[in-house]
Amino acid sequence: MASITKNTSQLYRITYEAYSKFANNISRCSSLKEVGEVSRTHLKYLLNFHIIRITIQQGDKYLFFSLTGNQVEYDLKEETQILDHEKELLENEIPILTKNIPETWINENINSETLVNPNLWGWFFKKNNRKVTVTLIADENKPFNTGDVDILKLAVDCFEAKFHEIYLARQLDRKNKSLTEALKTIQDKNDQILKIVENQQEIIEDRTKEIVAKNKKLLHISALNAHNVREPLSRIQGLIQLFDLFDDQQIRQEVIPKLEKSAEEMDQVLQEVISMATNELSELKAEKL
Amino acid sequence: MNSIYLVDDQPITNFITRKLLEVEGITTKIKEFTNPLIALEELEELEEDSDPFIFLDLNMPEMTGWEFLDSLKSKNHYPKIVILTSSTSELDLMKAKDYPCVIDYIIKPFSKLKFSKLATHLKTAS
Repeated sequence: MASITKNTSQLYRITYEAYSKFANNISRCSSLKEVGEVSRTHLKYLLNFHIIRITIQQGDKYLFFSLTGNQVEYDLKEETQILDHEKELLENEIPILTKNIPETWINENINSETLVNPNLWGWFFKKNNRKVTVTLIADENKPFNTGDVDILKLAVDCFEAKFHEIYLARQLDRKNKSLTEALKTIQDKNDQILKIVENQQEIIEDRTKEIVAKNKKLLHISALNAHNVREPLSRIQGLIQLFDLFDDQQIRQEVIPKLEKSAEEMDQVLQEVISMATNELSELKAEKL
Repeated sequence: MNSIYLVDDQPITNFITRKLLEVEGITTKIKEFTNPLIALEELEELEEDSDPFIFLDLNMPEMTGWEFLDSLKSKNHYPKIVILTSSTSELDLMKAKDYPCVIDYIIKPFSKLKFSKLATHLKTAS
């Protein structure tokens, strides 16, 4: 039975099949968790690795995605979280292949003693103006070769496109949320304004009622004053009319004393009216507006 | 011959009205009331066809002219009445129109000129 590794066309077909399964599944993902799950089950058929770690620039932050055996981790972090060799990749934009393994980072993920002659592979890509680094740890048990770089690039394309889509969806969701919040704030303010307006209307109605009442009172005062003043005055006028109808004697005896009395009463009424009007007006004024 | 009632709390006003009526040749018996309540009492004692002709003031302390009119209305008693007031208020003038027995509304001072308008009523009354 011929070794499958020697049948190149069959090998390509298998790889192609594995890749399309991976790509199809990734494209159906709607969250990083789902991407992690697909990577965990499918990526091992495309590439050999102990750890694969991808960083993608998103705005002023970096999306970190790493797969160690069956362990998936992902997060959106500040630039300070990137590793030294990744900084080098971002600065130089030149791929790395080195035996110099960052021990601290490796030991956070796997026991470095289990690795046999490990290599660190690093790539820098620029996709749609976003900087992408890929780090891959392979050893003699899980060998990675230059020939695998093409399939790695395809997988990274797939990841990057999906990550960006998820990132945009999140941004959109966040914007929707803040729009919803803004809308709620506007509605709240609107309610407050409506209340204020209602309150104002009540105040205006109350004030109008007050003014109407005051006007009535003023009208009453003015009518009363007119009447009170006119009453003795009309007597005086009436008495004067009688002058032609009486002789001097009668006038002196009957009419003049009545004139005097009426004039005196008119003076009294005038004084009362003036003081009352002054008081009432100052009272009306004193009431708060 | 029916009489004439002068209902005004001011005796001087009644005096003036009486003199004007006398000068105009009214010979009908004239009674003066400074308290409208007493005028009402006397009215009740009169027989229906001997209703007097009444000059009525509006502002009086014991009873206002309006109350006087309402009291008559409640008794279905409708003598001819002339309101004689020193009020120049439009409201009072309008209100007077609600009482059919009020045949005229005169603003004081009563005068010879104002009397002439009344003359026909007074002549038929006397």
